[in-house]
Amino acid sequence: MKSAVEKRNTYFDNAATSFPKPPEVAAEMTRYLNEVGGSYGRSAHARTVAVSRAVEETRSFLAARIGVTQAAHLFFTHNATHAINLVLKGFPFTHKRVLVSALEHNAVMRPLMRLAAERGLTVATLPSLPDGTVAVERIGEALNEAADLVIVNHESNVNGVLQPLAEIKRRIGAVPLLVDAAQSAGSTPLALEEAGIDMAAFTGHKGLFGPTGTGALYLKEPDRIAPLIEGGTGSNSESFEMPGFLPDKFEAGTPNIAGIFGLRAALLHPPAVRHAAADLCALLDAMERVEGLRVFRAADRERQGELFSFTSDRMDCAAFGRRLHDEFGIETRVGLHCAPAAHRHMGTFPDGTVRIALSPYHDRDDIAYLRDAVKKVQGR
Amino acid sequence: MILFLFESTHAVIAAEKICVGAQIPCAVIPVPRSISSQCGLCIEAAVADREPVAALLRESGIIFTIHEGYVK
Repeated sequence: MKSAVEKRNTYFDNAATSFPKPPEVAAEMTRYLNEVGGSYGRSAHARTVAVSRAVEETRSFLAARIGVTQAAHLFFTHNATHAINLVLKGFPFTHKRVLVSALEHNAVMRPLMRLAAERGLTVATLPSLPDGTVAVERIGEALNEAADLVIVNHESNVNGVLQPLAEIKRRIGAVPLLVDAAQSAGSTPLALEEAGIDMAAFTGHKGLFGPTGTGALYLKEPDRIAPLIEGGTGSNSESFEMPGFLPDKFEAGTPNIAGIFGLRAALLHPPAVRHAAADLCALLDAMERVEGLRVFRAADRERQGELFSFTSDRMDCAAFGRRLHDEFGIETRVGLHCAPAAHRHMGTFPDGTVRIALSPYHDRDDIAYLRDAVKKVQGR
Repeated sequence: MILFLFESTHAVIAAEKICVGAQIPCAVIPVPRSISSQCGLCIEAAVADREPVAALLRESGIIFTIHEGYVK
């Protein structure tokens, strides 16, 4: 049991943004703003050189974390949405056909729909299992017609399904694979080069425990993509052309240095995990036994991330979420989670679900408190 | 002194790390205007360290050029 001074962790909205963060994150951001100062690569005085070192160190730490040896192929962005837009707006579509998983977020679907409207792109869904897992043995059906790109949300932000990336890449062969790793980065081991992943988008503020406003894009073949924005890079300043070399090609403008200091601290000080995978499984099993609850999760336990959703036969998700909050202080996210495609696949569109997203900071008592609160709200 | 010039800040910092790791004295300085109108950084080292530094950079796959005869 928790001591009187240790507050129960009732924040279960970690798929929106993780909280709490390691204390070093705020400390490093404050240290940059109050003591370090300086820009990145724009000057040569001690402050800016120190900042440049810190930014490059962060790039190297993040590259190592995701299984990338060429850190220059990793570009800082504001978030995963920015990284995905960078790819989609700069990709040379020739066949004008893109394949997506059934569980894509609007970070992918909205830019694709704009491209569909403006450039005639067609978007098709990969064959999928009922929980949204890509049916890898049937991928060939979707590739009967040529495709430019395959996009897969590594971990669904609705039911937590983890997609078999290496197997998907093996099956699609030379067709480039863009992975949306917004939910999985930090909480699930990634080995991008080993899996042959072509492109991957990250956010710093979820499983990596950095601040909002930080993210990254990995490109195995950066020559294929045009920059999304142009501007100053601190290099080739005599030219009006964007540099073609890396990482400058994709990093116009001063980066979010305070955020990158926070992200570096988060990468250096990841929180210890206070619960076991079995605790999540036990929670899922317990909730599935509650009469009137329907739990949306991965069918294969080995492919379950640290989040899932549920609906109730007694009240809509907004009412359920409000009661969890008002009566038990439990914070969740209800609705469509910016992923209407996923909800359509699951059959929960347009009503949505209540989403539970754990963090390493949750211990068994926190999880038990959540389980009991859900039971009480359901009236069981 | 001798200057090692690079395309990007990323490469400058990587090169500095390599020099420090090899215990070769170096300094990150602005690229002199007489060399380039760019606003970038470069690495200053002793003439005697030209070959050891160049070998380490080549080994690491870092693209660079050398400017000799630089006087502070």
